[in-house]
Amino acid sequence: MADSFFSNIAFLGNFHPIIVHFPLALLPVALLFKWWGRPTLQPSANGMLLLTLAFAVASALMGMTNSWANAYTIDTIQTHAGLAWATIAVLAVAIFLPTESTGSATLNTLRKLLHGLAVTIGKLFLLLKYALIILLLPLFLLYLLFRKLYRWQLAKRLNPWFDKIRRKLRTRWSTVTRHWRNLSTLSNWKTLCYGASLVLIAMTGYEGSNLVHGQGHLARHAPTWLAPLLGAQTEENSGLKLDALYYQDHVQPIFRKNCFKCHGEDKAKGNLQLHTIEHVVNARIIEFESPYNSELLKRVLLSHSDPSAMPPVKNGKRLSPTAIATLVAWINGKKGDGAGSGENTELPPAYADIASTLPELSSDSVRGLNHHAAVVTQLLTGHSLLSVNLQFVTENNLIAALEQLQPVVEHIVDLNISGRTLSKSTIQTLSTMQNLVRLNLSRSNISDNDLKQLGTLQNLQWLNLFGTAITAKSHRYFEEMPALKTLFVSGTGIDEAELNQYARWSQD
Amino acid sequence: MAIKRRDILKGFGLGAAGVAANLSLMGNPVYASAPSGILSPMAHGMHFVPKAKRVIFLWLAGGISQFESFENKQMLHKWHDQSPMQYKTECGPSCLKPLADFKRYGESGTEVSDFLPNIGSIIDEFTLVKTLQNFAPAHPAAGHFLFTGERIAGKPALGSWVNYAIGSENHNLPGFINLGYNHGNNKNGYLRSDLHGVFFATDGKAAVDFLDRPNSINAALQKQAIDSVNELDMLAYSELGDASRKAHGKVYELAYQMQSSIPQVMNIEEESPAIRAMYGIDKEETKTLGVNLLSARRLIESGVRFVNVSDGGWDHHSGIDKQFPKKAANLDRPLMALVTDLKQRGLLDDTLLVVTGEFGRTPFNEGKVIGGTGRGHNPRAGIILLAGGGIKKGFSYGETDDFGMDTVKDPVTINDLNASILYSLGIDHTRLTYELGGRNFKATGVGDSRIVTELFS
Repeated sequence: MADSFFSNIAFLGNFHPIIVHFPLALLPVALLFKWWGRPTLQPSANGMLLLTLAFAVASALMGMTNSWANAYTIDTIQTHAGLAWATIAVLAVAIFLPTESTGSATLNTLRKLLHGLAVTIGKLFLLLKYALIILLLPLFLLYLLFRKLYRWQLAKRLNPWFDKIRRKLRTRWSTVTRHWRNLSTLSNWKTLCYGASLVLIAMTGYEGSNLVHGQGHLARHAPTWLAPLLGAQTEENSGLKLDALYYQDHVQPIFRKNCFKCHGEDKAKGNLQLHTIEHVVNARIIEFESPYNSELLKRVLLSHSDPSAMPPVKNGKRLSPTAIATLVAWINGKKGDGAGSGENTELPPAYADIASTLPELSSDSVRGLNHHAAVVTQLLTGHSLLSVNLQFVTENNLIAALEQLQPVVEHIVDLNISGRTLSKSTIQTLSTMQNLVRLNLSRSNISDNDLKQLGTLQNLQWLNLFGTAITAKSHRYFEEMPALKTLFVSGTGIDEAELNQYARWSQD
Repeated sequence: MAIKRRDILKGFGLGAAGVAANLSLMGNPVYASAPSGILSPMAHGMHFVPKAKRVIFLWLAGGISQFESFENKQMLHKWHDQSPMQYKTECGPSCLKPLADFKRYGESGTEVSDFLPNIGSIIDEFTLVKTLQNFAPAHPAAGHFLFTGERIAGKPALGSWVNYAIGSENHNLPGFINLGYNHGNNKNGYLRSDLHGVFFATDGKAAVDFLDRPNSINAALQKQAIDSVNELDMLAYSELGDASRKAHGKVYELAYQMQSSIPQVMNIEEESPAIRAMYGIDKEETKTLGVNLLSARRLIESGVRFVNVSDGGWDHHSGIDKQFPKKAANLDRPLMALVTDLKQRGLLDDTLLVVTGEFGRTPFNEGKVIGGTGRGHNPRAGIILLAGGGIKKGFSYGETDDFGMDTVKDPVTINDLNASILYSLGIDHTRLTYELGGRNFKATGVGDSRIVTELFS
């Protein structure tokens, strides 16, 4: 081990579990002496309390270095650390806070606060005592009745006790109120604080033991009726919540590539198989929503120098960061979307480029565009690309429908205006739709000249001119459309021979 | 609370404009409120980028034999009239060799039977799935499952689901139309009643019965009557909140529009003679499917979302040697014509064409049991042809064993097929749900089904 500062700190930190037992032992004994010890024991008690505090502080500091050196994630020890510091604070207050008024206003307020708290708790205990008595009263009366009737042997032994209770019950109301009133002088806030620190240190210790031995370790061998009280973990396999679809689409390919050689359908090294999600879940190597606590991930994250690393050194490389990210996402509950490699949940590149330049469109506003029998659809959730079909708009309404689309003209990537009579202004409007990728003008009255105007459509990839009156003269206009890939010219004025001119395109 | 007569009479004057406005906003049913007031599941845009905008679903009812169409199993030649060991316990144990030879066609080199040469010539447009799985070996259950993805009767057909999700583009025609024969698997189930599949007759009679107005009623009078009924429905809806009232309004309005739109769209006489000859309408053997497929093309061109053409007579338990060639001739030319026609018009890119039976047929000769020559049902292996709508070209998916009885690789269940159809349209089958009786029903039934993304390019 190198003699660096870091390793020294780590060395000290490792003693935390040992040192922590000193205050744990000292505090109860000190309080025992203080509250039930003879007067001669009082100085020892006070000394022991001081020592407890010192050890507690030392333990806490060592705990901090311990967690820092071992890089525990902060949330697992947060409770434990919080309780430890709370213990120290309360103990310090109990030891050092003066009982008399001093010059400091804060300390006086604090003391008054604690006093008030002690009084309240004292009152609660008093109430509890009398409530208990009242609850047990029917039983006591029943006993008296039976005693009178049967003169049991048992009765003789219990008699003194019950006589005492009977006498106490004869206490009048004034006694009760007297007790109540005296609480303010009887209560001792110091007692409260010491008691609280005892409880807190016990809780700290319990959390600490959970860290080392695992949650619910007390319940491990406890009788079944007691187990739930001791925080037993239910045996439910959290792996059941892992998403099967995501496994099928994204995780299984990773396993297939890296793990199936030894942990697949025909091989089960170390009794582990990963070829179906059922096998993975039953192997209990995954803790749902705790990827870094899952055995699966722990093993694949180990460095190659560690003999437990998976896949083993001789068998191949570590898992790539993408693969690890996929596994982490899966363990955190990511669901598959049934689209195989998920390619179609994203836009194709041509559309994606356009979508990135556009502002957002609310689906409410898209809904509102569906007037005059125009059909306007949002191409993909979350993207503001529109597909428009004006086939069924009547002639009268065509202008109105197009006007309505003016504000969103740059969002339109797919337009179907087949079978319509297109006026000059309509063609003009079409030429302003710079983001059009698909345009269907089949069976419309579009002419060669009109196509000239559409040469400005830089993004147009797909153009349907079936059944129109265009002729071979349009050839040069198609040249002007840089993105044009697919063109339909059946049933037009272009005859078979002239089709050769279009040979360099894919066409039908 | 009961509607009083005075409320009705009072309501009359006010409603007409409102009704008209309400019904015209039927616009794109994706965005118009469903009668229940809840928006369509697709109201915020499609789940995937759509590859297809409409579907033609050709059902070869009875189950087309894969051995006489696309599966050339050499083992059957070797084992003809004999029983292979592993299948000795299946019924009709002796094999029946394919009744015609196969040739390789196109760039993909797919083998197609000599019964279907025209389809062979365009086989590169298709993806051929060889591993259709159905759960039932009998027609009624299998047919219902094919259309609805559910084993219990009375559930909505895929066409209804599609229209429920994204509606239809032409509001003057129903969004889900059936041609061929009325098989009854076109019901809307628990979905809105306006999503029911409408059967159009193509045998020369009127496409839809009782479509024409009686002579004594003119158009204006009829419109007024319909508007009045719609007002009452709206009144009832506002009082009672019964969602089906709004659906009534849609149906009446649609029926009114259908009076003019249907005769026009179903009039195939206006097609050019060249087109009609291509579909084989002039020839007796190709007339039925020719007319049906040409009508289907006209319907989808007019914006109908889902057209189902059903062609019966493929159930060749016996007499396959005489019947199949006839049926194949029925199908061969019209299907080729449909694909060519769609391609020329630029419609093939965004139309999904599905050709399938409800199951396949066995490699065994059932005629040995019931007489004659024939094949039984095979729910474990069958043929699906897919084209258009983002489907790969010249691709073959799935493998069956040497006898073609069982699937060994890449099975495609009916639910997988339907999920893929919905995916092609941009709909996620797991997100398209309808809540009823405490559970979220979906078009692909219960259990998991996957979108067969391997079929799409």
